[in-house]
This record gives sequence, C-alpha cells and structure tokens, in this order.
Amino acid sequence: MLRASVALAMILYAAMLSAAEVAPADKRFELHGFGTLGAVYHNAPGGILYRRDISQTVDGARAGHLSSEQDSMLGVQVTSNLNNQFSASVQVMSRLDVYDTFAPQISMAYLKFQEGETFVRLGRLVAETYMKGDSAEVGYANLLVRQPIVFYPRMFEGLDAETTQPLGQGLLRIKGAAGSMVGKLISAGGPVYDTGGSRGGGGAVEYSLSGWTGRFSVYTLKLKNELDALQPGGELAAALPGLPNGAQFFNVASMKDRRLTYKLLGLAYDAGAIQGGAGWSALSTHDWPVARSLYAFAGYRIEQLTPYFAYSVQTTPRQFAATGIPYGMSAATDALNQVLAQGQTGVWLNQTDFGLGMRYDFARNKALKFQLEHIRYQDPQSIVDPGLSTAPAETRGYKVLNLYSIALDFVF
Amino acid sequence: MKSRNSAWYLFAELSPPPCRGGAREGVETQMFHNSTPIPTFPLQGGRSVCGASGFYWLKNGLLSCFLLLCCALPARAELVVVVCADSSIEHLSRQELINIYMGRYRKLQNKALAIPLDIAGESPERRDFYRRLLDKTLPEINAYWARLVFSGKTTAPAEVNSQREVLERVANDPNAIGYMEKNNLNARVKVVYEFED
Repeated sequence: MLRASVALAMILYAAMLSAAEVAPADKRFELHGFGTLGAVYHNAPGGILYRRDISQTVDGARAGHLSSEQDSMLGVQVTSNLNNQFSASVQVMSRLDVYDTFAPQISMAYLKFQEGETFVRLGRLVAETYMKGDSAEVGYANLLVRQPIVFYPRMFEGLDAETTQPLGQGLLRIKGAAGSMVGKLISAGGPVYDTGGSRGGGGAVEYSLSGWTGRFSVYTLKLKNELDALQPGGELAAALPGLPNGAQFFNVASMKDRRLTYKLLGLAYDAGAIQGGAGWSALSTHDWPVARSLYAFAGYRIEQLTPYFAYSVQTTPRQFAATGIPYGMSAATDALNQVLAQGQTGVWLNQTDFGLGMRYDFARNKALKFQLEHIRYQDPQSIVDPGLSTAPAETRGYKVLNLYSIALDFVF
Repeated sequence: MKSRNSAWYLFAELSPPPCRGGAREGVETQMFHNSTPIPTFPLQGGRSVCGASGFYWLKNGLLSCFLLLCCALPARAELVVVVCADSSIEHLSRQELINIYMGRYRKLQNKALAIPLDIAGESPERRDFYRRLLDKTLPEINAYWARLVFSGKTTAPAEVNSQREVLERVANDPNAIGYMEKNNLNARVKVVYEFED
C-alpha cells in the first residue's frame, strides 16, 4: 500500500513536471491528463476507517494517520479527431479500487459522432449524475475535494446521445443513455459486489439561462448479479429457508433482478465570482425504503482564493424486515436476528455532512484545496465503523467524524 | 521634513522637490495606453514649493496619489470580437458569445458551426476577454473546460498564439470567431461584438 502511494506520488509529480498546454481543439490528436495528490486525516476513535466511497477498499484511512490513498488519482485521456464529425477517445484512470490497488482502469473509451449540436457516443461511458458534467473524479474541474453525494454505479458500456437547442432565451439540452454497467463496489462489511452486466438506461432534461442551470434526470437499473451469500450454497441462502419470514427476507436481501430507479433534480448557478449548486435525489426499489438525498454547496471567488461550504443529508427510513424469530428465544437466534438487521443497514444511508473549504488557484492548471468536514452518521456506507456491528442495529445512534483533507489538483 | 515615514517619503518624492527654490514649470504626465496617447494634463505648474501651505500639500498629495493609482492599474485595451469580413453575421449578442465560447451552443445565425479562437495560455487578451465576458478568471475558465473535456462533451476553443494569428485565421475562415484589440483591426475582418467599458 505504501509502495502504491509512493509510486502514484512519483507519477503525479512527473506528470506535473511535464504538464503541457491543453491541446487545441482543431488538432488531430489531443492529450489531456488530470490528477490529484490528496491526503485525509481524522482522529475518530474505535478503529473507524474513512474511505472516499464504496468503490474503494474497506481498508480505509485510520485515525491519527495522514492517508494519501483515498483522494489521490491520475488520469490520462487521448482523443483522436478523425474528421469533422467523428472522434474517438480513451481515458485511463488510476485510483484506489475495491482490491486495495491502483490498477489503471479504462474509465471512458468511445467513438463519437457529432452533427451540429447533436452527438451520439458508443463505447464505455459515464452516466451524467452531477450538475457539472461527468468528470466527478477530476478534482481540478470541481470546487470541492469530493462530490457532496456520490452516485454509483456510473460507468457503463453502451451509448448515449445528446442534443442542445435554443428555447426562449435559454438552451434546452436533452440527453439519453442506455447500456450495461461496469464497476465493483464493496460495503463496509460485505464482499465485493460486481455491478457488471446490469442493464440500465435513462435520460435528462436540462435548461440553462444566464448563470442558472436546472436539470431533471431519471435512470433505471436492473441488477444482474446476486450477492455471494445468497448464491446457491451461500451462508444466507442456506439459512433463510429455516426462518418464518425467510421468503420475505430473501426478497429484501436479494440483488439479482432488482430494479433500481434514480430520480435527480438539480439546480446550479455559476456567474461572476459566485458558483454553487443544489440537488435532490431519490433511489427507489421494491422491498426497500426510498433513500433520499439533498445537497447544496456554494463558493465565492476572491482573487485566487475561493472559500466554499457544502452541506448534504442522506436519509433512508429505518424499516427493518423481521426474520419472524422473536428476540429472547436463544442466544443463537438473537445473534442471527442481529446479523440480519445489520445486513439490512448496509444498503441504507443515514448521514449528514457539513464542510468548509478553500480552493487556492496558485498556478496555471493547478489548485490547492483545504477542506474540513463534520460528518454525522447513523448508517454510513463509505465509513467503516466496527463499533456499529457490536451494538443492536435497531437502536443505533448517531456518531461523528471530523475529516481534514488537503488536495493538490492539476490538469495538463 | 526633519523626520518622515515611508508613506510621507513617497508622497514627497512624487511632489515637487522641496526647498530648491524657483518655479516648477509645466510638469506634465503622459500615460500611454497601447501606444495610444491619452490627453495630457499638468501635475502642477508655476508654483513655488517652498513655503507651501498645508492646503497646497494636501491638494498636491491627493493628486499625486491619484496619479500613482492610475499608473498602478493595468492597461485596459478596447477588446472587440471579430468574424471574417465576408461573413453574413453582422452582430452577436453577449449570450450568443457566451454560448459559443463556453461550448454550450455554437450554431450561428447562418446555421454554420462557429469555430471560436482563444489566444493561448495566460495571455492578457485572454484574461481580459473572459473577465469582460463572464467576470471569470482564467483558472475558473480552465476548470470549466476540464469538466467538459474530461466528460468528452465538447472541445475547448482552438488556440492561437497571437492577435496577428487571430486576424489571419478569422480572415480566412468564414466560421472562425476571435477577439482582439480594436487598434489591431483591418479590413479583412469585421466587428460583431464590442465590449462596453
């Protein structure tokens, strides 16, 4: 892990030294790159581990240690402008993954056909879930160190199409996308879950006028793979038939063929020295309570400095599916009840984040960010807290984590 | 004048030399703005400095400070947006210009796709252009383009190295749009947008 960090840091440093001008749009080939050398620190007791999101290893940042792995990344993009209408692009990114490695991954690879203000892309793409484009991981492109809310899975293989037309005084943009998801996730206590092959699609309608942009998006996703524990022969698959509510519980726990629907509503403002945004989202699926999130952030530029704040709240009603076995029958059945209750909270999110930060554009295409976050969580997904599994999930209270981040972002 | 702090010293240096006697004739200051002279005006003329009253020093000092401030401010050229002289485009609105340069919508009134040109890097013209168009700094513009380029959505304006190159590209391409200082215009291009100062 240490070697990976050092290697990444060296790559980042080398990339910064060789940072070149962004290639002009009319060049046959374009080479762009981005990177972040970041570090996080927290001192929450109890073996709590911090990670950026659930696409990263559960071996997160430990208390009292400066960890450079969660936010550091490096990406390179090569685009070939074949002619006025066709272009091809490949983007490779190295960041911490579920297997605790920085193995480079193709994050985008597509052929693009553009006619006027309409384009179609075919290949590996990223679903547009953020108000400021698909480049959520490109630190330099964003005001905050991290997105206030992380959506996943976002990478897919398929096609997307987009058209922009004037409407009234503003611009109307309509986008559609469909394909098969790519990416692996890991919850705090669970094994790796592969979203690969899950089919999804959706679209967005966006209207922009002056500095304002509003968007509504809907995406649906049908998961392909089952949890390992529910596979034939898995621990849970073997235990559930013996429970009074086994069939009902299976429906709650099962991932295979689960259809998820995301609805997102966003508003962004970017004019002069002020930039900000707010968004609401809802994730619904059968047998699960609807998970909702709300976020807002704003920054005000003062010369090279942009102080900012961010706030987000994510809630999932804590509706436990009962196993049908009453508590108090035996220690073994109580333990089973607890484990299954804990398991249900693994897909819930009850967390509030408040952050203050400062972006300092100290040199061309380079920015330094400092961020302090106050995270209050009951059912976290990215934070790994061993203490949560030792207490009954039903009576779990809120805990607090203060996170300090520093990030050097650059593009070339 | 026996003792003076640095601010007073600066003030005094900008003012007529004290106690040299005689008249100070027609001291004039001329500021040059991209080689274009602006009207000159006298700093102070025909007044003996020795024995000046407090009022004189106050008035003279304020004037000196004003001049110092003027000299410290960056020169602000008259920036215009141009297209080829043969283009059917006669005028662009500020919003159209924003849409073109920010890659939001580049279809022109004549249905052709605009090819916006940027003067490369941290050039003063580029800085001034985005400051006047959007009240944005170059790091903000670069961050904006990073968002779009790494999303694969659209391409940043084509970069050229100088106003002379803008002139050449625009004059030879009916879809090219560029910005330049007004005093560099020639007959091969026409102005479609002028920034109001």
